[in-house]
Amino acid sequence: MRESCKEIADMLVDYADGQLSAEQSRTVGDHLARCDDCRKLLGGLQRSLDLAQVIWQDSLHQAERIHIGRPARVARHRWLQYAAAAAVILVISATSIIWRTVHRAAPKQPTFAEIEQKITEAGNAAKLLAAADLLGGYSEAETIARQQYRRIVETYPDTSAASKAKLQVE
Amino acid sequence: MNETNADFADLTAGQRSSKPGLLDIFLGEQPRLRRIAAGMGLSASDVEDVLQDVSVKALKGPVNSQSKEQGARWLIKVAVNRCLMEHRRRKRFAGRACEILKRRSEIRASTKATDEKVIQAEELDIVRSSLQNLDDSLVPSLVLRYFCDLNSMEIADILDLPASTVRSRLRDARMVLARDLLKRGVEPQ
Repeated sequence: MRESCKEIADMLVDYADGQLSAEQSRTVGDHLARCDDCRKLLGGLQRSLDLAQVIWQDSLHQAERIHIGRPARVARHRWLQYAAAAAVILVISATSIIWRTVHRAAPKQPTFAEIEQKITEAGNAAKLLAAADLLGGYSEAETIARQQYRRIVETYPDTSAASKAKLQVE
Repeated sequence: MNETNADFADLTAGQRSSKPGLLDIFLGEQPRLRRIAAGMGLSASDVEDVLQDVSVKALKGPVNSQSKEQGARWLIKVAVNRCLMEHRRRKRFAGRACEILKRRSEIRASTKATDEKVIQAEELDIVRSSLQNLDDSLVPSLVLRYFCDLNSMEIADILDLPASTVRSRLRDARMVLARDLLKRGVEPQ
């Protein structure tokens, strides 16, 4: 490239963009008429810009497409959220049903010793209750009778005698 | 109004008393900001990320009493800087030339455009590669000038550069693109 070509090249972008003064434009135009290299460079400047515009436009088109598509994507995510919530509810319900079924199907069976223990307690409580009722008939033994009722309630709380004794205490 | 804009409108309403205008300006400038981010070669999802970030910056923006033009320039500056950050992490213009041309022909067919110029995939790939490899300092000026139609003074104001530096960068960027094309034996008509 000749020295004058370098000077012209510095002005070529502004020339292509129409940014030069009339005099500078004339100078560049005169040079272009004589110089193949600079004409090619000018062609390259214009062509590369055209191609860059195509690439930029495509990139923008892609960005606009994803922008327009966003509500649909959000809707899909919402659907997934509802599905997840429904699945969680389903799992909890199923677990609860299974848990109850298992526990109902296999209630705890008392042992023979436990049954014997309960009969003994109920008998003792009934005897104590009968004694307390008897004492309660006497005004001077009323305090003792009350203590007796309390003892039944505290010692044999699960018996029917305890329920009756409770009524007397209250 | 689409969903995103509706969200932003809510935010604007909430912040109106403390930050008048900047989010409104963002809403008005959104197409241009998207254009800038796309022009700088970000993928579609990265463009959306950049816009989200700029909207947050707009919400927390430092200026209350600026004009619409100043607000718009500030938002463009934020968007450009954010795009440059993205450039350092990812490759820009990842789409291949054949995909670009296919999409272009589909759009042209749907809009019945008649000013179709013949674009060769090989040429497109050369320019795409040039844009990918262009120095970060040259990209914003190039995009703002030739894709967003801003003049050198406006670009200088946005990028905090002297106008002469902007013009010099524009010349450098254009020359890189043109010379890459010619070096590969393309003969422009």
